[in-house]
Amino acid sequence: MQLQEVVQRHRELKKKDKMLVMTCVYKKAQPKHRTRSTEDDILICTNSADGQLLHCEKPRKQRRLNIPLSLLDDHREIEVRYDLLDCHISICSPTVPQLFSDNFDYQTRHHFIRGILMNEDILGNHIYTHVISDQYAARVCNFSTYDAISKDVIHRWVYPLVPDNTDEACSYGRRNIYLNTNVSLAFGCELHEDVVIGRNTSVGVSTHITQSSIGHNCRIGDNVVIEGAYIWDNCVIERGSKVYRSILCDSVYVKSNVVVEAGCVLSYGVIVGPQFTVKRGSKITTSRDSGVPGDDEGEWGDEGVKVAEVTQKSPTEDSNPTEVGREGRGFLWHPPTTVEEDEESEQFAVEEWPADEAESSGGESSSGSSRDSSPGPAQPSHQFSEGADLDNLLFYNEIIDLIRSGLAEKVNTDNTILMINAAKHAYNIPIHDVPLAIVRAIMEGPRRSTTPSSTGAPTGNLQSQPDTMTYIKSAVNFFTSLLQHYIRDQSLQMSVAETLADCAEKQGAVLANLARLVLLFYNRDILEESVILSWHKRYSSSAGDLPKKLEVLKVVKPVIEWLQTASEESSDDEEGE
Amino acid sequence: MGEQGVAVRASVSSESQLTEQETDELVKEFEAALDQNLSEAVAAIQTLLKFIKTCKVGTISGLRAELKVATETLIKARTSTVSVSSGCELFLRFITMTSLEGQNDFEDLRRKLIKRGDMYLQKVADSRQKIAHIANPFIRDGTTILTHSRSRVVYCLLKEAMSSGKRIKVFVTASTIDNSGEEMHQLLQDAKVPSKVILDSAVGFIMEEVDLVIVGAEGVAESGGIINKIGTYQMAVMAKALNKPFYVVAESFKFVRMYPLNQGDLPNDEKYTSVNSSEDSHPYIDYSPPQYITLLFSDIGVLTPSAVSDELIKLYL
Amino acid sequence: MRTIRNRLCTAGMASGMAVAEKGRSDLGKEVEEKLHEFITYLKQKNPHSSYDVAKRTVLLLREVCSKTRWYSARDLITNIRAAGKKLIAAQPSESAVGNMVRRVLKIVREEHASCVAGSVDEVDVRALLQGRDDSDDLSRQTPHLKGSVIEIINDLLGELELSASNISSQAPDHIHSSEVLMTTGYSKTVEAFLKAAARKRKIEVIVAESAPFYRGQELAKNLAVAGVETIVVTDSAVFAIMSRVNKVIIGTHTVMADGSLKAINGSYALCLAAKRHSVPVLVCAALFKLSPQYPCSYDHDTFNKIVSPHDILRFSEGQLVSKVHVQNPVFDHVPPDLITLFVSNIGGNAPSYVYRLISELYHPDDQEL
Repeated sequence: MQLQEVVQRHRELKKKDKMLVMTCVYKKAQPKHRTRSTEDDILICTNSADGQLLHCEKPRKQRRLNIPLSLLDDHREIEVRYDLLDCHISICSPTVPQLFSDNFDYQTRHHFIRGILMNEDILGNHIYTHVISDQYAARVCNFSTYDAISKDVIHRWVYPLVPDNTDEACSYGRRNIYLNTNVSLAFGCELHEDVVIGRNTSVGVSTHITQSSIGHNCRIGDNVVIEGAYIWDNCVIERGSKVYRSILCDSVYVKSNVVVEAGCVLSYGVIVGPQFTVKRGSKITTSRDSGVPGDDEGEWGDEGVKVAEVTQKSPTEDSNPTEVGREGRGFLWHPPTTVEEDEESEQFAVEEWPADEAESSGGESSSGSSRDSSPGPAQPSHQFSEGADLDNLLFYNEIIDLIRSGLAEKVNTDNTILMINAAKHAYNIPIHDVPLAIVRAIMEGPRRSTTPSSTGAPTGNLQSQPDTMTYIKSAVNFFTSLLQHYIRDQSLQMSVAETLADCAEKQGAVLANLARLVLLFYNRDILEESVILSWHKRYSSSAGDLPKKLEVLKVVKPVIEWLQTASEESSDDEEGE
Repeated sequence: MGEQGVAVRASVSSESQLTEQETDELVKEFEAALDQNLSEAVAAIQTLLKFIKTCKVGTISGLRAELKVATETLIKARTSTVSVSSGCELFLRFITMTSLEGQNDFEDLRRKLIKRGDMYLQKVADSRQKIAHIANPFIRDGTTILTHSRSRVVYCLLKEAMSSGKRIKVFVTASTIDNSGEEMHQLLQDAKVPSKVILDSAVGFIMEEVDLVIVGAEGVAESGGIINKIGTYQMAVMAKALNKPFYVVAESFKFVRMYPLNQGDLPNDEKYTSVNSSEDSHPYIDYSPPQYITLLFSDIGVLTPSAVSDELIKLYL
Repeated sequence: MRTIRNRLCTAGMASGMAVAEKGRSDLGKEVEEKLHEFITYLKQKNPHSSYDVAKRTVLLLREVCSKTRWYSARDLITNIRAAGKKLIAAQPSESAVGNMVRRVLKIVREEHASCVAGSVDEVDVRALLQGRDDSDDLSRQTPHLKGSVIEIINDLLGELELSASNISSQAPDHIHSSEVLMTTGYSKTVEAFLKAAARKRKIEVIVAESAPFYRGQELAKNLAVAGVETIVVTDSAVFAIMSRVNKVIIGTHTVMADGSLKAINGSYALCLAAKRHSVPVLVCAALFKLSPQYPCSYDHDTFNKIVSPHDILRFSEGQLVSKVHVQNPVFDHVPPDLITLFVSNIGGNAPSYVYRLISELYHPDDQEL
C-alpha cells in the first residue's frame, strides 16, 4: 500500500483535531477470510462522520461482546465494523512514545489503543482509522497468517511485490508457477499450481509439488509429494517422502519414506529419519532447551526475507528415535505449561494450524485457543452453552442467591420479581430464559455445591436426597406465584418440563423424586397436564442419552399413567390459560 | 552488382564435357562426403572445391564451364536436387563475385578461389549450430513437437533444446517412402529425446496434442514457401487449421530462385526419383505455400515468409 | 530512413549472434544516478505511457553519449548496451525501452560507418563473409562521431514528439464520411487520430469499455468532450455490434517483428469479430513501438504482465479468495493475419512489410543486448 496517502491524511486530520494521536490502518476483509487470524481478529466502532476510533476489541471466539452505550452520548452515528483486518500499521504523532512510556500497563499496541480510548475523557486523545480496500497490507503473527500471506503473494494480490518482480530473475508461468534461475526439473515431475522454487534447486523424477514454496539450493528426490508446504533454503528431501502443510526451516534433512503430516514445524537443521511419520502438529527442534519462549520462533518474514540461522548447539543428549526416526536428530517441542488466566499471555496462544474446514468442530478449536469460558469463582453444575456465556452464568448465580435468600428470609414475592427483572435487564437475558433459570436454581438444592462439574455429572451425592427434596418442595410452594408469573404460556411450560427432565438426568436427587416433582408442579398449576403429556410423548421419542432417559421415563411412568387415566375420566378438568 | 568478369584470354570453348573417369571420381567424392553426415549441399560444395583444386583447365571461363558440368553431374547423382543446385550456385557466385581484375596469373587466381571456397565451407558448416541457437527460445519447457521425416537441422535443434534443460516430447512421421522417419526416431532415441513414430496418415489425428510443428526444408522458394519431403504440405495445412505454429528451419544456401504457384510448378526431374519415370512413381517432394508458415529460422536470422524474397535478392544479387 | 550503401553482396549475412564486444563500461556518477531514478520509475506499479518511457530512455541515452567517456564507437556501444540491459531488466514487459536502445545503437553504427567509409578499395573478404562491414573497425577513432550521433538522437527525439500528430494527420485519408468506427481501451494515438478525423468528417465512434481497467470509458469521455458522437459498449457486446461497424481502429502497446501485436486485453476478441465480419482493422502505432523481437510463445513469461486480481475479485470477499484463482493479464496477443494496416508516423504499411521496417531501424547484431 502507499503510505504517503495515510501520512498525508494524518497530517490533515491533525490540523483539524489537535488531539489526534494516532491513525490506524485497517483493510477490508470479510469474516473467515484466510488472512484474518482469529488471534488478531478485531471489532471496532467508529464515528461515521470522520472515522474516529471509538471502541476496539478482540473477540477471540466469543459470541457476544459488550459495547458501551456511552459512545452514543457523544456521537450521533456509530459504525460497528467486523469486516476489517488489522494491518498493524499506525501513523503516530510525536507524543505517542511519551504516552506509551508514561503508563506502565501498556505493553502492546492493542493495550495502548484501548488505554487511549478508555481515558479519552481524561486525556482527550483521539485515534482515527483509515480503511483500505484495494491496496494490501497485512502482518504475519502466527503460522496461519504466514500461510495466508504467502498465498496472497503467490496469487499476486500484492502486485508489484511478486517473486518475479524482484532483482533476481524469476520466471512466472501459468497457474502461478514461479521458477528462479537454474532450477532443474526432471522428467515426469509435476508442478501443479501455486509453486515457487528457488535458484539452484533440483526436483526429482515423478515428484508432485503443489501450493508450496521451496527455497534456494534444495534437493528434492524422486517420487516425493509436497503439498502446501513451506520449505526454506538448503533442504534435502529424499525419495518417497511426503510433506503436507508444514514448515521446514533451513537445512532440514528429510530422509526417505518419511511422512510429515499437516501442521508440523521442523526447525533449523533437524534431521528426520527414514521410514518415519512425523505426527500432526508436532514441532521439532534441535535446541534442547526449548522452554524459552519466543527465541525459536524468530521472525517469520514473507517470502524472500529469511534470516538463515542454523543452530550451532548440538543436542546434549541423543535424539529420541520415536520422535525423529532412526537416523534423526531433534527433539519434540512442547509448549510451556503456563496457566492462561489472563488475556496477556498471547505468546503461546498459537492458533490451531491448519484450521479444519469443518465449521465449529468444538473440541478441536477449543483445544488450541487460549481462552475457554472464563471461569467464575465456582462452576455450577450446569452450563447453558459451551462457549463463554459469562452473562448467563452471572445471572444464574444471582438467581440462585435470590431464591435461597428469598426462601430463607421469606422475602415478598413482588420484591423478588423486581430483583429478578433487574438482573434480567442487567445481564440482558431473554425473557423466556428466566423461568428456566429459576427452575434450575430451585433444583440446585439448599447448599452450593463446591466441586465444579463441567460435564454436569450428578452432584446429588453431596447432599442427601431427602434434604434436597424438602428444600425443593418448600421452594416450589413458596415461589408458586413467582413461577406462575413467569411461566405464562404453554411453550414456556414445555421448556420448563424439558428443563426438569434435564435436571433429572443430571441430578440423582431430582431423578429419584421426579414423579413427585411433576405432581407437585401439576398440583400447583405450574404445568398443565396436556403439556406434561405432550412433553412425555416428545421426550420418549427424542434422541438422547438412552440409559438416563429410560430411567427418567421409568420414574415418571406412574404419574403419566395417572394423568392419562385422569384425563380420560374427567372431561371438564379445569384448563389453564 | 554482378560479377566483374575477368578478360577472357582465349575464346576457345573449353571442353564442356567431362571424361568418364572424371565423372566417376566426382561422384565418388560426393558419396564419400555424404557419408560424413553433411547435408547434400555442403557435400556438393566440398566436392566442387576439391574439383577446382584438381582441375586441369587454364582459363577462367574454362573453369566456369567445367564447374557447371560438374554441378549438373552432382545433381543427377542424388535425389534431393533442390538444395544441391541452390548450394552449388550460391557457392559459385560467392567465389567469383568480387573484382578479379589484374590477376594475370591463373594459378594465383585459383589459389584465391580456393581460399574463399574454404571460408565459405567453414561458414556453411557452422550454420546448423547457429540455427539451433536462434530457434531454441521458441521451444518452451514441456512442449510437444511434431516433425516430418529426417532432417539434420531439426535434429540439431532438438538436441540443443534437450541439452538446455527443456523437457520436450517429439512425434515423427514415418515417411514411408524411404522410412527416413524411423531413422530420425533412432537418432532421437540415441540422444535421449523421448520420441514416437506415427503414421503419415495420423498427422491429423495427432495435431491436437501437439504444441508446435518444426520441419526442415530442401529448398526455400522466393515466395517464402518451402519445398520439402512429400507430406509436408498436408502437415502445414493441418497445422493452420488447428492454429498451431508451423516453423521451418533451413540454412541460407537452400534459398532458391524459384517461384512455384502450385504443386505442378515443381520441375519433374526434381519431383520424382531419378530412376523411374513420372507415370508410375510417387512424387518425392511437395511445395508448401507461405501462408501456412509461421516463421523461418535460418542462419541469417528469424524471417517471416514475406521477408524471404528480400533476403534472397540480397543473397543472389 | 537511411539504408547503408555499402551493404554489398552478403553471401553470409550476420546472424543474430553478436560478437562479444569486450570493454569496460564506465558510465560516470551523474549518469548512474539518472539511471537509478529511471529504473525506480519503471518498477512502479502504475502503467506507464510508452511514449513517456521511450522519451525518457532516449534522453537518458543522450546523456550517456554526451557525458560519459568513450574513445571509439565500440566503447560507446558498450556503454549504451550496459545501460540498456539494466533498464530492460527493470521492467521486461516495457518494450519501448529496448526499442529505443536498439535505435540508438543503430544510429551509432550508421554514423560510424558514414564517417569512416569514404570509399573502400579492397573489401575485406572476411567482412563480406560475415556480412558485417567494418565490424572490426568499430574501434577506429572518429572525431566527429559524437557530434553527429547527438544530432541524430535529437532528430529521433523530434520524431518521437511529432509521431502522434503525424499519425493523426493521416486520419482523413483513411476515414470517410458517415463512418462508424470502433475501438477499445485508451490510446493517446487513437484519441488524436479520431479527433483529427472528426474535425474533417462526420463520424460516430463506438468504444468498448475494456474491463477490468475501464480505460475505454476514459477515452469515451474525452471524445465526447471534444464533440465526437460516442457510444460506450461492454466488451461482451463487441461481436453483436460489429455488423454495424465500418472500421476498427485500435492502438497497441507493441508491434512485434512478425507484425503481430501486444495490445491491451480485449483486442484479440475485437479483431476476431472484425475478421468474421470482414471489417478492416487499422492499428495506429508510432514507430517507437516497433520491436525487433518475435513472440517466442504466448506463454512466455516476459510477454504478458499479470497484475493483482483486485480489479476482478475484491480481496475482501472472504472465503472466496482462498478457493478461486484469479488471473488478471494486462496484454493480449493479436496475430498478424487479423490486421489490415499499420498506420505509423511514416505512413501506412501492411503487416507483412514490418520486417522491412525492422531491418531499416535496427541492426541484427543488437538483437541480443
